Amino acid sequence: MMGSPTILQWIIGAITLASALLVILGRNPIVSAISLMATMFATGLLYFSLGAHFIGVVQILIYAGAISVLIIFIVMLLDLRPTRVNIPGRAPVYVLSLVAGATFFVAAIFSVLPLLRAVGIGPLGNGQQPEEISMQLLSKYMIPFQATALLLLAAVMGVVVLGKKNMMSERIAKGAKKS
Amino acid sequence: MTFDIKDPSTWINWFTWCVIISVVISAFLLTWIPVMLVVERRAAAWMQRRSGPNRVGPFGLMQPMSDAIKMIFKEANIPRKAHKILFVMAPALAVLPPFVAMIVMPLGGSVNIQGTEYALQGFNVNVGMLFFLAITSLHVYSVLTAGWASNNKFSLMGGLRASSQMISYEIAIGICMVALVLTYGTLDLREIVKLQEYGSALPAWGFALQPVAFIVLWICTFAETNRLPFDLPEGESELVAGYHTEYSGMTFGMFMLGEYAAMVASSAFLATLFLGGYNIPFITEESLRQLFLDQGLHLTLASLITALLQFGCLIAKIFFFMWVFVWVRWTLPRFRYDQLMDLGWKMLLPIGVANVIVTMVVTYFLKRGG
Amino acid sequence: MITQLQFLVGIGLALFSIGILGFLVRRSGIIALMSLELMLNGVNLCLVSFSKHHGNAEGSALVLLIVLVAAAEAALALSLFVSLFRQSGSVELDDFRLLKG
Repeated sequence: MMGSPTILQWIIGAITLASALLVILGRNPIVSAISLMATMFATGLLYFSLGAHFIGVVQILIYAGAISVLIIFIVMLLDLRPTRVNIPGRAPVYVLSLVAGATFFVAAIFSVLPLLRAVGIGPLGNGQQPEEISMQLLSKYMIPFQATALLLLAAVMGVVVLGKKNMMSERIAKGAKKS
Repeated sequence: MTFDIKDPSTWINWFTWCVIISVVISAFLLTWIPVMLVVERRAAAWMQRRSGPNRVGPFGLMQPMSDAIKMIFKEANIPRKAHKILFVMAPALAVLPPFVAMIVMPLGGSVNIQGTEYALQGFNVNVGMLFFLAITSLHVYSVLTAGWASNNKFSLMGGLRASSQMISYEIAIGICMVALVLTYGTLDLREIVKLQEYGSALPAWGFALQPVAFIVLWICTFAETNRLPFDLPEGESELVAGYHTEYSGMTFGMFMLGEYAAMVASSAFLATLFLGGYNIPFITEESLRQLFLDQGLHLTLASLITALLQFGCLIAKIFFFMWVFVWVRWTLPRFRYDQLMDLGWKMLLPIGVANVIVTMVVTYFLKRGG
Repeated sequence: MITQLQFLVGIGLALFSIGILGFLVRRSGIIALMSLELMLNGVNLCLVSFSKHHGNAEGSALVLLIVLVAAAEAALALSLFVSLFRQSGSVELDDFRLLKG
C-alpha cells in the first residue's frame, strides 16, 4: 500500500468518478441507473486491483448484478420520464448544496490524507481470503451476521406485502371514496 | 495489479501478458461460434427429417461464412425515436460477459517452461465459482437495455420478462454453489479440477457426488442463456422476437454471438464443476507426463503435449454439453411464463435448499467419522 | 506523490461527497436512492482499503455486512416507491407535502 497507485488504478478511479457524476447529473433516470451500474462495476474492479478478490466479486454480484438491475426495473416499470435537472427557483439550494458538498470533500481530504502518509504498518498479510473473512464473520461478528439474516428475511416479507395489489385497505379506501 | 502473475516487473510485461490472454481466450470462444452454427442447423434438420444447409461448401460446412457476410452487409437500422447510445451498447453488453467469464476457466494442465509451471488458464482467482456467477449475472443488462432502448412496447415487455427469468434462476445457481462449496471445500476452480483427478481425495467426479446440484445447475444454465425450453424472451412466435425485435444486421449478429458464447462458457463451467474439468478419466497428469518423459522428450514438450491432450478432453466435454443444448432445443416445447417462474421459485429453489441440508448432514458425519 | 492508500481513500471520499450532492440536489426519489447507494459504496471502498492496509479481514467482514444491509434497504425503498407511485402517480419528493404545516 505504500507504493504509488498503478496506471490501471488511475484509469479505473477516473471511470468511477465520471460514472458517479453521470448518476447525479443525468437527465434521464435510465442513464442515471446505468451509470450507477457502471460505478458499481468500476468499484468492483478497484477491489480486484487491490487484491481483495472476494469483496470485488461480492460487489459485482450483489451491487452491479442485483441492486442495479432492481433499480432499472423499477425505473422502467414506473416509466419515469426525463426530468429537468435545474428547476428555476431552486438556485439558492443548488449553490448551498454545492458549497456544503465541496467544503466537506476538501475538509475531509485535507484532514485525512496527510495522516495516512505517515502510517507505516508492518507486514501486509493478505487478509482478503474468503476463509479469513468468514472466520471473522463467524466469530467476532456473529451477532451482526445473524441479525443481517433476520433483516433479509424481514425485507423479503416486507417487499412481498408492499407489492400486493388489491389489499383490503385499498379496497376500503376506494369504497369510502366512491360513497 | 497485486496478483502473483509471472513476474510483473514492468507494466509492459504485464500488458503483453494481458493481450496474450485476451487474444487466446477470444480465439477459443470465437472458434466455437461457426462450429455451433453449422451443428445447430444440421442437427435440427436431422431431428426434423430434412436436410439442413448443404449448398455452401461440402456438407454445408461453409454456411457460417455466408451467414457472416449476410449479417455484415444487412442494413442495421436504428428506430427513429430509440435511444441511440443505449441501442448500440446493448449488443456489446451481450458479448462481453461470456468472454470475461472464460478467463477463469482452467483449460488444461500446466506447461513447464524453464522450471516454472504456467497453467493453461487466463487468471486464477481464488473465488472462481463466484466470479463466474457474478459475470454471467451481468448478462441481464443487455436484455434490459435492448428492450428499453428499442422504443417498442413488445421489446420492453420481452426484455422485462427475460430479465426477471434470468435473475430468478440465478438464485437457484447460488444455492447449488453452496452445496458445491460444502463438497469441495474451496471456491477455486483450479483446485476443484485437481480434486477430481484420479486417485486424489475425492472418490468420484462432481456429478456422482452432487447429482441433484448437477441437474439443477444444468437446468438453470438453460434459463440463463435463454435457450429452449426457457425461450420465451426471444420466442419467435410470441412477442414478435422479444427484446431483439428491432435489431438487424450486425447488431443482431452480436446477440447471437453472445448467446453462443454464453452457452460455451456455461458448458465449460458445468464441465469444470461436475465432469472433472480437463481431467482425462483414469489418467492423472503426472502419469501422462511420465509417459512422454519415458519416450525421451524434453520436459517442456512433454508437459505441453499433456496439457494439450487435457485441453482436448475438455473440448470433448464442452461439445457434449453443447450437443445437449441443441438436442433439447429441438425436442421440447416452450414453457409459459408462469410455468417458468413456478419452476424456478417453487421447484428448483426448494430442491436446492433440501440438497444443501442433506449435503451438510452427510459432510458432517463423514468428517466426524473419518 | 500520493500512495495507493491515499488515492483509494480519496476516491472513496469523492464518491461519498458526490452521493451527498446528488441527494441534496436531485428531488426524484429514485435518484436519491441511487445517491444513497453511492455514499455506501464510498464507505465500502475506504473500509476495504484500510482492511488491506492492516492485513486482516475485519474491514472486509464489515463490508460484507454493509452490502447485505444496503441490498435489503434498496429493495424495501423501491417497493415503497412503487406503492407511492400507485397512490399518487409521481415519485418526486417535492409532491408529498401532506404533512406540511
